[in-house]
Amino acid sequence: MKHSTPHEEHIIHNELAKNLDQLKQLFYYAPDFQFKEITTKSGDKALLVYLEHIVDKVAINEHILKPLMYAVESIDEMHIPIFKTENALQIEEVEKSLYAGKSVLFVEGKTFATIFDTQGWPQRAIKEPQTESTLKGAHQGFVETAGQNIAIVRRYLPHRELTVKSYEVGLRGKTKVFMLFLKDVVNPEIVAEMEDRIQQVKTDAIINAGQLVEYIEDHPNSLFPQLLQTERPDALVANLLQGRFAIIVDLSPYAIVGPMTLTSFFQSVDDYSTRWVIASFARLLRFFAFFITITLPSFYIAAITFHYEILPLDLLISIGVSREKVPFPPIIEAIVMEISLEMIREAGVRLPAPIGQTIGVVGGIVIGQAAVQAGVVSNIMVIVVAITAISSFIIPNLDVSLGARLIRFPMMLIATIYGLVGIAVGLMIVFANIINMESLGEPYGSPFSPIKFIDWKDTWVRFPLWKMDQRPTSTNSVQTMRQRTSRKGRDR
Amino acid sequence: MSKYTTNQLTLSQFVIFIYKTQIGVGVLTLPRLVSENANRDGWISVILGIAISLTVSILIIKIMEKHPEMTLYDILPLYFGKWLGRFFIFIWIAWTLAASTTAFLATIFITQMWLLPKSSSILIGALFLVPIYLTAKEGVRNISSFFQFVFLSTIWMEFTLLYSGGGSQILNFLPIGADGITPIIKGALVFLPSCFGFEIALFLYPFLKNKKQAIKGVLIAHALTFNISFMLIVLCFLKYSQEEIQLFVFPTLNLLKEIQLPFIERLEIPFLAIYLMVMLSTAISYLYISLFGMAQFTQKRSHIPFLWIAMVFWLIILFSVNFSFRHLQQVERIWQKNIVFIPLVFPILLLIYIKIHHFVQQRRHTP
Amino acid sequence: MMKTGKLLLIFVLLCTTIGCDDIIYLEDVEIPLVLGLDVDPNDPDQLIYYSSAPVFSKDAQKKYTVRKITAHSLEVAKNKIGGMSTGFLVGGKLQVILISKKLLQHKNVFPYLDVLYRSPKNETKALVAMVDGSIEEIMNADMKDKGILGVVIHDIIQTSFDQGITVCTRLLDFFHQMIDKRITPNLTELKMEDGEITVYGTALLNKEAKYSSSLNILESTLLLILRKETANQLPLSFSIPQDHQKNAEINLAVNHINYDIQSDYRDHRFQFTMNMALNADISERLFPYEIKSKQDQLERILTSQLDQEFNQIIHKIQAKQLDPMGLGVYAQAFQYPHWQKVKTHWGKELSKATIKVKPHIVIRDFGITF
Repeated sequence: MKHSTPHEEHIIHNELAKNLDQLKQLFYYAPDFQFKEITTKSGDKALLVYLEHIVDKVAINEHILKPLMYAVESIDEMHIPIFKTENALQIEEVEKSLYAGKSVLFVEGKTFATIFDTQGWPQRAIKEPQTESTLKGAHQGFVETAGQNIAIVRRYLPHRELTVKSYEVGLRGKTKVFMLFLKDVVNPEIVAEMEDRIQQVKTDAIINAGQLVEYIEDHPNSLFPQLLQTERPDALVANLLQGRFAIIVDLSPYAIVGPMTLTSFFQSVDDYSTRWVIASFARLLRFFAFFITITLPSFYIAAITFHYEILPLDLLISIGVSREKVPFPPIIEAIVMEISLEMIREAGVRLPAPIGQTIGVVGGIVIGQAAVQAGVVSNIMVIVVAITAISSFIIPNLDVSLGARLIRFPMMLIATIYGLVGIAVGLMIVFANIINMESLGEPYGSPFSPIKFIDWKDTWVRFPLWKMDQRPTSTNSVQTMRQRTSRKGRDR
Repeated sequence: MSKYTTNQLTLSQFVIFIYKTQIGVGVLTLPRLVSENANRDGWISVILGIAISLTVSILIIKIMEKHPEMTLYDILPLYFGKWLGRFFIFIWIAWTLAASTTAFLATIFITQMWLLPKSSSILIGALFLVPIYLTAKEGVRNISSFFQFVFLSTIWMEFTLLYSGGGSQILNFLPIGADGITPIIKGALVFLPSCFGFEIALFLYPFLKNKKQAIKGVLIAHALTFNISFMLIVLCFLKYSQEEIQLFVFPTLNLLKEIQLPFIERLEIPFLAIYLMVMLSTAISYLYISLFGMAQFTQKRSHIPFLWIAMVFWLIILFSVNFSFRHLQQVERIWQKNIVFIPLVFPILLLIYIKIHHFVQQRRHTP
Repeated sequence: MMKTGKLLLIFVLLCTTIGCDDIIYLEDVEIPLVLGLDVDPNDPDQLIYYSSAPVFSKDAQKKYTVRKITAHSLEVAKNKIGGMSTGFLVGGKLQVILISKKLLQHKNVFPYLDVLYRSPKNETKALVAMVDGSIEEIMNADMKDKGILGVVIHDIIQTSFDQGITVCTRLLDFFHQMIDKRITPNLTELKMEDGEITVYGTALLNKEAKYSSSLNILESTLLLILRKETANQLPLSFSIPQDHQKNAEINLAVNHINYDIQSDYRDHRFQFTMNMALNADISERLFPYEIKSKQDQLERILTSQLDQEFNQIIHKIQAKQLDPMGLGVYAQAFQYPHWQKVKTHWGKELSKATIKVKPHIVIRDFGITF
């Protein structure tokens, strides 16, 4: 209800024509505004208005017009077979409802309008998530409709403790935002903090979940994300069970999950469905790949500009021979290669798949062969760049992967100036920044710094599921036990 | 409630804070220093030295137990009155600042000597100031988190040291104790500065979450320090004759020089680069304690302005003094002869003073 | 974070303006793999230095360069070579150091190597070898079918050590042998034979780092046994008197040796008794023998012959007042008071000592035919 005193023009008249005039003025620039004047079976004159493309026309025809014109004796919401109806007294309410895809019925002589829930906008079918494909996880991804997404989550957790809170963000966009959490597990302080942050957002509209993240994150300037964006319902549910909260943003196929630590981005849904030893190996591989992505190009530069002694003699000679022809210093060589790699990647992302492959082939030939033969880069550099690229793709989370790829460049610069000393200090700077970060009150570097041995069960390695009885401490959950003995007497 | 509860430390953070303060530049020269004094019996000196250090640490915990919510900076004015208390605080600020400065300069010097011989020390110093600033500006908890990161990323080094064990001569340790007990004690005294860092407990104790674990924490920290020092001494003595060790400036690095892996040679170079983290940790730790004291001394809430002052101070030193090995040796000598008494003797005297103080108080109250 | 970013930016600008002087691009350096030291026939104060470094350029005909410089010291030579090379000269990858026999006979060579121990950048794992003959001959040896000189010589010495026919003295071992009072230095001995670089045995030096005596390949193996360097299989060769033929050869490969070394001090002299049980396999037998029934007899014959050979080599070493076996280690460990008195002239003292070597050969394996 509006609190301002109702202006004469904004209340609903009992004459249909006046109402229609008002609406026509309001929707002057909306050619999809449709109205239909009808005479009901009982003989009343009525006016049905809606915006053409965001309503379900079948529903309007079958469930509103047909009953009104042929069946119903009195015009009353009780007699219309539409599930959700409400009455409005003001034009503003009508306007808002029309924009939301509802249809509104005015009746001659009544000073209120009836709003019917007849939304029917174009929807995408549920598909396999593209950015987080898995081998053994569910092949069901979120879509752009929040209601559907919540429905999927409910299928996983049909439990009364699954709480959904809804907010509206955006002064113009009015995007619906839902926060989901398990009430008995999650830390209420974290939920309150998050709620506060969401309500503070005063912007035009939230188009994508990523935008909302930037408004509510602790350290938006950092290269690493502190909130997970995921397309996968199973990942979201797993996180809810760990004691985290999730935010589903209407119009975006991505959900936001928090609070996260750096290491939790290295987990993937597949880890829990593959055998635990193999999953542990994959985990170690990812951490190693993260380290390689950050340091390998800079290590190459440091080794051949400062500390060539550390290379074995045979390798040294072969590097020397291939470097001899290259006219640039190693840093230029490395930056040229790394930048062209980034360009190929960026070009590939935006292009449709068939052309994207071409880019891959062209890039591969240019970087791999022609450049070496022309003597622009050394072949060892090509190997370094390739290994770095592959390593960066192993990191399961896209945001972390991109962050790590960007850190390479300052690391390369510092290695050019200081060699291995620069790399060591560069790593110190990176990790000092990580350690100084917090995600909703929990240290971002946990469980490595500060060390929390109890959480190591699911970071470096993945312990067998039946051994992980507790939720991670980094979620600060109120209820810490996750399960009771599930394999008693067998193999524990 | 104490003013330190917002920044509490877990046991492992407490342990690693102390441990990372203890282990630093000293490790690189340790075998030589001990060998120069104790010869073949250096390993006994290490055991003796660690025992002394541990005893003093436990005494420190005993002092702190009486005032569990106070750092040394709070205790001193309580017992010695405003002016004398402030004088002692000043001494401690000066000592920790001196220790931090030494660690910082020595790190630069070693980097320059082994890794970047032609670069100017000011350039290297400027580089080191970045991580120092980023960590020292935070509170105790984040600093110790940082030390934990350093600890985890340098723990492999111990195992690589073991890899150097080939061609060792166990008879180098015989005969045991042939030169009498005096060299062993001398060696222990020389070893003691490598244990310095235990006095940090004087300031960390109020931050510790579970105060009952303090002694356990000190024990673990000393066990870790002992592990490294003892292993180094034994490995060096197995590998080299006493005459040799005494000719090497940094025997630890000579030990590493021998390791040859199929994919990387000259292990001392990457090793030293990574070890910079450990050496700078010592500097950061002492620097923070010093800045913390300064802030308390001037009753400021933030210590960051002092951090800037200290950094400028260091840069000025680097600008004005051309640091060389002679300086390092002088500092080493001062360290061994004169400064021993501050972290070592001060807590003992303080404990005695407190006991007398309590005794007198009790007499006064019960005439 | 923003503050940090600014700080970093200022810092990077600062660094790029000052610049770092340690940058040497790999392709611009000359990395000597071999260093040779020889006497200058014209001027006794000078030495001739040789260095050989790989050439990275594909256009160059030869894979490595050889330089020859006459200078007073290595540091001066380095500067001189720097003047004629295409890049900076750095010693971080040194593989082999060759010293001519003549030089070792005339001069204490240890001080000339000082610079290699002093700078942290230098490689101390380089192998040190004595060359019987001129260094120049080796440096200019034909390597067309072999590869880069430094690698080739390094591999030759390393392989010979692995086969147990010479010692393997790295630069840091040489330092150890010079500084440690309990041992005297010894180097691999190389020789040019028919244009091939050949390992000739072991050169024994005295504490002044001067050449004193040589051991051939067979004696070198015995030295390795005496020094307990038994990680590799060691070859032993015996010639046994036979009825029909004069000398019949049998070759053994020693796998494992159990030592029991006793030391004592009696009658103003040190006494060492080295009991050793050698587990050996027969690797070659050039005469018919009933090994099934007469194994004990064969072992006895071989043991007595080995005993003789040990006595000969020890006699030879004692005559030169050397201790390449490192018996001083036992003297110091077990006879400390006496050792204290004689440690400054240990070689001389050892020549008076009684050294008994009591080997005992046990044949464990015959291969797949008896």
